[in-house]
Amino acid sequence: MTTWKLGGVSLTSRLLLGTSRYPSPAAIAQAVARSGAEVVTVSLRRESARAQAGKRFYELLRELPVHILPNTAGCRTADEAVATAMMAREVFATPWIKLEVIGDDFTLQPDPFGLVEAAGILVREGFEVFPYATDDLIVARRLIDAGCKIVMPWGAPIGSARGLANPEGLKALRARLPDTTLIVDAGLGRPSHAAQAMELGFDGVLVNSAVALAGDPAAMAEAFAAAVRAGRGGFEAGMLAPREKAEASTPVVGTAFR
Amino acid sequence: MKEPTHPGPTRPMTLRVNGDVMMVERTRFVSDLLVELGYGEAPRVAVAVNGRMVRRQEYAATALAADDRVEVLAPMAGG
Repeated sequence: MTTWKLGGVSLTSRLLLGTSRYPSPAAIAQAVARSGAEVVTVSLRRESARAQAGKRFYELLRELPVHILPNTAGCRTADEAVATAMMAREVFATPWIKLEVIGDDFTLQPDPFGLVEAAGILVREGFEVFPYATDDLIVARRLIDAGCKIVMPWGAPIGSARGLANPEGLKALRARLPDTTLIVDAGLGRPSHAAQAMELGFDGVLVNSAVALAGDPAAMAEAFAAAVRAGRGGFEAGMLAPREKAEASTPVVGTAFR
Repeated sequence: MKEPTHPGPTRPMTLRVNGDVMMVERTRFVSDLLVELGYGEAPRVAVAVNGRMVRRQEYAATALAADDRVEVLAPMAGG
């Protein structure tokens, strides 16, 4: 199987999985196993020391054959995101950070200004920054200027399951940033959405709610993995462009009764 | 938070831990607080004091002062 590079590591799967909202910790492990996902996102939260839930979750992760991508979910300012990223590096011992700076509680839309500010600081601190961004080309450019090698534009708002809300914008992003690793993150609801993103030439997709909240999360993870492979395969094979009129697929030469 | 100097005997003080006011009895350093909170050896957490991350190897040398804001964060599922 062909491999690709993400944040300095070599991967086979182009499906990244979130670990939130699964019915049980075992369901996360099953989803990872069935999909072959090699990167999972995690977070840091306040917890009661007596519960020690974090330690058990960490031990579960350690047993999975995956790279851990901690996030800064819930942060609303660059300062909060930078502090959270530092703490995540301390706990998870990885320079990877999925950088989230949220600008609006209703849409959970990324704050591009806070994002660019935090990205610059974290790149200088030695992080491999995976910024969760909108599909705005200039924001992506500013993130790249700040040192990001990866940009993760949204498909649609987090957890909305709406798919690619702005496929033309994503297409433009891909066309204008051919050398940047682009991963569609958030808003995917079904496998066909993932296939669509991959057909557009994105390097990967990150999915959480659509898998975690499915009737059978492990089966859905496998379906997403298949869709990602199909979409990527189509992109690499070179797809036929849509046409205005019909074009006979069976040869016209030699048609009978003419 | 202050540099480790020569703190006197421990006495009760108030900290704001994960947003809640907490009275600590035997805490002088970050490492003491983690023990007082119930974390055992090698806690899988990250600590910030007044918004600044404290590295694990600095827990035993980072003194806490009354009313410091301490965040103790643990791994959790995330998207």
